[in-house]
Amino acid sequence: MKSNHRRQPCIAMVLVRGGHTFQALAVADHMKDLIRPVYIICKDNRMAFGRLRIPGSIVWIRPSFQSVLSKCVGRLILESASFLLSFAKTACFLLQTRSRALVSVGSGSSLAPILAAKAIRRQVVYVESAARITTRSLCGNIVYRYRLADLFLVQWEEQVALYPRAKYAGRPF
Amino acid sequence: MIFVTVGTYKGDRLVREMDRIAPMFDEPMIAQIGRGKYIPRNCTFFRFSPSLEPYFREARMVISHGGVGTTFELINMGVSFVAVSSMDVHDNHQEDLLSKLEAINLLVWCKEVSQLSESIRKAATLPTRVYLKPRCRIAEFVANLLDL
Repeated sequence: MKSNHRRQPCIAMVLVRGGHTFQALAVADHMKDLIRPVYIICKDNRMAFGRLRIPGSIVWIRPSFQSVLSKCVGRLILESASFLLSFAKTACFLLQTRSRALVSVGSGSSLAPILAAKAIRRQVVYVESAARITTRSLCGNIVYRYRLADLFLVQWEEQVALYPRAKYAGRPF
Repeated sequence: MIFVTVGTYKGDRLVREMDRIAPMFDEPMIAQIGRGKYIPRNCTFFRFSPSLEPYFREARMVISHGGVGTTFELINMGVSFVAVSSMDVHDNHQEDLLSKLEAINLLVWCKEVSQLSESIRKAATLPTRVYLKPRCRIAEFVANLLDL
């Protein structure tokens, strides 16, 4: 593993509300000698802005499919519109910043950025949340099942049993 | 000082119970109540702060929601704390993490807010245990993927 500041690639970190932000920022901090992070931040997670330890470009996206799919049709239409908007904004941002990869630690709102990265052929790294040990998260399940990630990492050894193709990578905290 | 934090969760049940038992403790209590509707009467409170670290450092005991971020922040700081699992979260996944960490004596897990005072007493007597971070290889895997 070489560290050369001029050659450090841009990597987009997805910051979604709650413990996902804590984990994504810990991952960014852990890789600080290797990459230059840029940030895709959910609009309902404005506090994340004050927690960035490494400066980088930011794009704000709308939250979508945060929990189990809504049964209310109106809400579903609204969420789908947010999803498409976040997809388009992420794709433009990844091209603008010349990001080589996108890192997500989960939650429904990161599905749009993940699909956008796949659509423009950027590498996707998915790290399953450390909050999960014996069960799959909904987002992790979708990403794993449909092979949306080029690299699927887990933070607990027990999670390898849930995701046999995943690699155990430990935790940065 | 006892510090209570609900993070971004809906923690009204926790704040209400802490407010009820606050007079039983002979020390000040401060609560971070987030977007909660219940306004405590027996303790000082605020809604959000960019960093809770100063409160964590000052507190003798922290009562926290069971979110992964705050839980590992407190474990890494070596603070005595009680983690209260929130029933509001999707599929109660906090229980998975909290039961694992309680089994290795890194925290006291309070499953029901009605057991809070008992959990606080238990946490005060819990022997300090140093958390050893596992080796993290995320950077190594990403470097291989991107051929760096």
